[in-house]
Amino acid sequence: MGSTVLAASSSLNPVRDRVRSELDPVRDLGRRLTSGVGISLGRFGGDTALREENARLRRDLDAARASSLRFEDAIRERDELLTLNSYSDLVGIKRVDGRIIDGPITNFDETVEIDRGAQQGVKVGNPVVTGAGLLGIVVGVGPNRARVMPLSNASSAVGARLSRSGDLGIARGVATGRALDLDLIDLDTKVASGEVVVTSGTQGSRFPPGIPMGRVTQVRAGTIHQKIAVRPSVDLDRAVYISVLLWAAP
Amino acid sequence: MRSFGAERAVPLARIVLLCVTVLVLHVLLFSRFSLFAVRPEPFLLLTIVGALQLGPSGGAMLGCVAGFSADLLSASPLGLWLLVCGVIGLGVGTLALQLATERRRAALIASVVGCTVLGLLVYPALAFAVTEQRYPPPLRYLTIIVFAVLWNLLLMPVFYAASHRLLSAKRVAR
Repeated sequence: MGSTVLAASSSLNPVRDRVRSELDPVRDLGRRLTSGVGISLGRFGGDTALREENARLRRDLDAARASSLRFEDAIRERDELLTLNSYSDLVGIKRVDGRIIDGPITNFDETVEIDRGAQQGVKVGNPVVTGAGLLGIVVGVGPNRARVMPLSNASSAVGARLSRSGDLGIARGVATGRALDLDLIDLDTKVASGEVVVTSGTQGSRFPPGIPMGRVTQVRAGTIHQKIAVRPSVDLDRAVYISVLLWAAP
Repeated sequence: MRSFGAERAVPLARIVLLCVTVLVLHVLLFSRFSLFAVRPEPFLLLTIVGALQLGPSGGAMLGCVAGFSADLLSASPLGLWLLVCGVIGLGVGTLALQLATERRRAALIASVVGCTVLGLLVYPALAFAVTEQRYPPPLRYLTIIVFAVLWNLLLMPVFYAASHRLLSAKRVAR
């Protein structure tokens, strides 16, 4: 029954996208109206100049943190890379830089809106990164905007790789602001708290390999696999600048 | 004992106009009201206060249009909010025929609280059944329900007055 409902409703998705596009100017107006309000009406209210300055500083800090994460992962990968000529990383992937301009409209919607869309080449399924690592994936595109589902969304599942052991698993979102659940890691794999988790980029993956996703914060033994909590490297409440990777799964 | 709301015939165009107005207001303003990252649920609120005045068939119609408007903004498959609001509109409209006019305020508050909670319980359950979308964590879910109810109670007088004005039409002879 679920698939029938989905098929029927998905045929109306263009209508929804069109309506949302038509409402974009209204959202812009609302953002402008509330940006000058002294009391914060959420993460998108408040003083604009101060937010801009904070955003720039956070971007620099995120970039530094990402470098650190990538370095740890690179140590393990170095030996592999020597023998793998076909290794692909983010270098060479076209990207479109933009900003997060708005948050969710409804209570059960955890997507964020960015100021880049179809006219800039953004497509549904494109990965979105910040200086700190993977933010999420594009789930809706308008002419000059796109909606991004964060990694921590309950519907998100991303192929992940532990940086030290190289073990592959699936990182599932629980809720915005919560740690990811990393599944399918064998019981005999040694996993340390603080270990970096990156995208696996295995065949069919929606993401290129090697993008930092976060760090392990908790490890517990399950019945078949370990139960691992991963704190996302991107803080959604603070992220402003993003890059959309114009990359499609091979 | 007189009923709270009698069955009323209201042109569909007027209902659509009201829902489009709320849609624009939500995008413009209500979606920016955020307490603990919880926003009002204006389409549920409109359905409840409108159904109290329109009765079952008008309430169901209003609920379907309001629910579809909510669907246009949500990330889940189209039709889930339509179903939730349609059923709530029908239920509240039916209930309204049985309610005493003297307790109008209490009935209004009870309806807004009860049906907002009901809507916020049923909608994620439907989304889970159709898309296997996972529930928010319990604390977050509870926060959404509590603060959405508070928002709706706060906006209730405005919505009631506006819907009363816009939906007022000749009562259907019973």
